Amino acid sequence: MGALLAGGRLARRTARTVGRITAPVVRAAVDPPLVPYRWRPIRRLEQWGQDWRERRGLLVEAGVRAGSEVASRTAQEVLPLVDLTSVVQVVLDRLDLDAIATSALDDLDLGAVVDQVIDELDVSVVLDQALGEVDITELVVEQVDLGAVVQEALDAVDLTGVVLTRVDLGQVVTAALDQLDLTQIVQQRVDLTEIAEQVVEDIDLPDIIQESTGSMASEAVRAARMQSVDADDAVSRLADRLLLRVRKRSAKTDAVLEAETEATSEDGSR
Amino acid sequence: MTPRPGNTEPANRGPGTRGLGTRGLGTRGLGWASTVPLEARAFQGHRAGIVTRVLANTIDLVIVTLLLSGLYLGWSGLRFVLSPTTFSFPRVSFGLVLVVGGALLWASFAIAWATTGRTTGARILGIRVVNHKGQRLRWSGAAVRALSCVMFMPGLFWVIVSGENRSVQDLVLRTSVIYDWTKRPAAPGER
Repeated sequence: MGALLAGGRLARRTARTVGRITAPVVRAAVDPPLVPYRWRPIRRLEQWGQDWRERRGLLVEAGVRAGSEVASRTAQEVLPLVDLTSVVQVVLDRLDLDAIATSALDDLDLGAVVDQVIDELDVSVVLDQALGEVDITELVVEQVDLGAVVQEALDAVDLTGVVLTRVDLGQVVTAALDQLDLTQIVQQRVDLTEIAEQVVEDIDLPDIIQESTGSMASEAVRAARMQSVDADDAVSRLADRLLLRVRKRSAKTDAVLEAETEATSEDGSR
Repeated sequence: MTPRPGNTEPANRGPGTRGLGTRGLGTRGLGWASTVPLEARAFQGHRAGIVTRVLANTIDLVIVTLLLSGLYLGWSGLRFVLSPTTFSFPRVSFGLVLVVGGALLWASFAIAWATTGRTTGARILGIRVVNHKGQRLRWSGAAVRALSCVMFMPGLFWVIVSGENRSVQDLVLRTSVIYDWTKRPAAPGER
């Protein structure tokens, strides 16, 4: 390599020296003095130069066309013979793609590019098309841990509060009741027999039957009892007045007083 | 539910027995469907006054008198059947009438107070005899009270003087005669 460079330098120097020596001779021969201009050789040279300049564009164009045709044909002939994959692989191996990409990204104003892309794209159409081609449900079900997502969401949200504030519970309940056959549910879920037995136990059924069957007699008895109670009161008042009793007569038994105390304390504790 | 004091409903009514409607009644736990009229509920469990008690005793005395008469007629009929030729109505001394009548009265009182807490007269007038806990009397208590009532009937009239509608027998034996229009008998020892 060094020898080539040295040879090149020597040749250039030699050519320059020869040129410097032969230049006056050549100039005198081509443009001799004292000779009319139309006879001078330089005139012919200049005309050739003019012709060359005029035809150079066409010649270059033809050359390029021929070259590209030759290149195309050559490529068609050669490419099938070449393992392009290995060539590209070799090239890629030798390229520092990261550095190139970094450099390219540094040079690019990505924001502007994206803005321009967005401006030129009809995003809704693109999205529609993309969503039409992708089964998002399946994608989410396969790729996302839905249990964890739901758990996280539930932990973060006061669900009761949200429901109480956002949901018209009355409407919900009404709608639910409209859809339910309560009678059927009660018949299926509730032990009506047990409830009936309980009710029969709680009410004084024999008493009621007895009262309803002997209503005439019981009415007379009731009237007699009420009258005797009134008479009791009247006699008691009279006796108290005659005895000059200051303290009011108390007909309440201890059991009644205890029950009243209990009832009062129950009311107070409520 | 804890039974209220004075609630003498029989315990065999089961766990569902409610004490509803007992407020102001104090003694027996009236069911919410009780047949006791509304106007009478306020004084249920209170001690009865003299008029009611005298009326009840009068009815009982009438019944005992009828029983005595029945006994006399039965005895006379038996004598007539046995010796129709020499038949004459038997002469009965006043002392014997008093003794037999007193015995009948005592037996009827004791049996009634120990079983239902009320004689026939008391049942008609809607009153009941209970002990100091509001429970039905035991047989011994009923027998002693019946004896004292038969032996000293005027003791009943202490109800007028008493500030608590108690007779002498009530004061001595710590019993009470209360208004109770329900029909179920109170059980001894149950509240």
